[in-house]
Amino acid sequence: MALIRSNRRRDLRVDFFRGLALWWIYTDHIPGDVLGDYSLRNFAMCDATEVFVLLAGFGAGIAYGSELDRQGYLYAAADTLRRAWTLYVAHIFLFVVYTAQVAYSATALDRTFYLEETRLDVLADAPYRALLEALLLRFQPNLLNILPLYVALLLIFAAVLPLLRKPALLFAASLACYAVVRVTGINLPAWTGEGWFFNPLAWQVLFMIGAIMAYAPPAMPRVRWPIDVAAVLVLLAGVIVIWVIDTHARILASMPAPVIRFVITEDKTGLHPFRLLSILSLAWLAMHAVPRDSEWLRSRIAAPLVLLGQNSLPVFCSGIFFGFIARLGLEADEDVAMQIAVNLFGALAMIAVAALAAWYREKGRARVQRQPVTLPAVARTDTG
Amino acid sequence: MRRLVSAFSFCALLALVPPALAGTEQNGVCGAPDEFVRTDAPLGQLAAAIAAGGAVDILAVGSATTVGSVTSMTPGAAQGGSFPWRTVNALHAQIPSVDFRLTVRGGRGMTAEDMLPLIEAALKEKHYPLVLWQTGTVEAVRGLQPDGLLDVLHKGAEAVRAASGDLVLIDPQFSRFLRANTDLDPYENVMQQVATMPGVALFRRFDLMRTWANDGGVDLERAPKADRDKALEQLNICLGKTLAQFVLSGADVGRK
Repeated sequence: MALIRSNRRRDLRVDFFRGLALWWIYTDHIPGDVLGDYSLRNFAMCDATEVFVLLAGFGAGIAYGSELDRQGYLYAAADTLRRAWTLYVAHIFLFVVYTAQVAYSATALDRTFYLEETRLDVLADAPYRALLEALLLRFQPNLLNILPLYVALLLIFAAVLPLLRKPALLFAASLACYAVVRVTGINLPAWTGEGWFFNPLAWQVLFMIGAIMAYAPPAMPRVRWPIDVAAVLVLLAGVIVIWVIDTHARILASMPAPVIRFVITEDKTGLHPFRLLSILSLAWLAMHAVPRDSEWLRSRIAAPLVLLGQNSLPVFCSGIFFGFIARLGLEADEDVAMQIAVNLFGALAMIAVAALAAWYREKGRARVQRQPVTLPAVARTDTG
Repeated sequence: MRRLVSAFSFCALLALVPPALAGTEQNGVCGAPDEFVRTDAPLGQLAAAIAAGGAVDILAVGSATTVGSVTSMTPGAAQGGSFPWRTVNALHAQIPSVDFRLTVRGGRGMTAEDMLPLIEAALKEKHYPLVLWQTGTVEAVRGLQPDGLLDVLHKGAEAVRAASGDLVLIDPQFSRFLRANTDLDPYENVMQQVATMPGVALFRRFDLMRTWANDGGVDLERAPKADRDKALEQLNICLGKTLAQFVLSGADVGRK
């Protein structure tokens, strides 16, 4: 039984890059992991989060877009909500597991700063309130802010689903909302007084772009090179900011104040325009560098990442758990052997989780197919 | 040229140091590379205050690491031992003829925005030729808008300047966790940018502590449990010494 799902309609590039993003999320979030110095964020003005959200939008566009066509709005919206609920439950479960893991480690190892760093310290200050706030997604410990974003994005998506058929309108509305957020700084409320770490009202623009690209891909321009050049220039500008300006602040001093402000206040919370342009440029170039029918996407080399990408929810959740174990390992010893050990451990453990999830799903699907009464065959590309 | 001048003046300053202190302690300042020990930014107000002799009031404003509850493992243990106190100790040792007096404001979890009113209030009460402002960590951890920090630091820098003081900004302390889990760069860039204003310098604590950690020096995150209090003390002492040298280098440049 094949663990990797592949059919003619499925774009394995999406799975591959999503898998890559999941692996980056793992390495990026382990304090002291050397591989964290070589992930996307070190070379571009965007990181695994942008990749993840864009591809989540793409997956949602395919899955719920095709449902919209086959079953109508109500069913497609209900299924989107079901998915949001699954993610919400997963988030709450992960919250409990992570809290237990971090709090126990902090006590057992006498490292209370774990609690401060992860912002779980408020749990001790106001435990009853904290639980409520966590359920309301108004309390998001550090690292546990991507799933709440995903939940909020799916809720927004469920509401605007019919607009998928009018992609220009959806894009305009989404962009307008993003612009308003950029200007006003409106954000969903958080318990501690500020907004969400990832502002869904801003990040929705990336998600919607992904969904539109999947459901109603716009016609490719006849002349491609100007966009290629623009994309390369955007990425180059990002490299310059990261490698030159971040380390030599005085270079900027002679520039006009608005330029300085634009370049240095590049925030992740509100998806700074520079970050948005960077991920779109990257997607554009990757899309053309890797053709959809590339053979290597079906090769053994790509298989582990494709597998991760096809099972992203269990992989993401377990990755957070494995990541903290890896952190404890690196804190015990930071030499080369330990670096290799924690990264190998994380990669193998996440692949094992993905393989188990894929095996279970395929097994279930095979049973369903054997039964005489067939269930509606939904073209779902995304489980994560 | 300015670099050259400051290098010379730094050497001149070292020459003035009493021989007893000039041994291992002053030479390397805890093994800190030169770039962290010196600033090109002239701190003229501090220079004038030192030259005038008598008492020099220093205001330190910051979050946990400034007010002295760094890890909260042993509450109160770090009180009076946080790096601003160590800085003042080092300044005393360096220039015994001047009475450096420290006032500490701020608190754990405070943002720059929370601290600005504290600074403004303190400046009204007394003349502070030097203000140490440690911030940025809370903003980065909470993902607050970097341009909000930019505006607040600008306002603070102007207030300090209007009150005839110099400002030394101090960035977050090195932490592998912060590096991995927050997007520090924009906040660092904002602080670097504010430090290009006249009378403002940036003490790059993050990079300095990372250098120490990489060179096998003091490393708070990797210190075994039993040694952590000692490591914390050593860290604060070393930060204090380095920062003292740093501000004096600026004051000396200012005098030229």
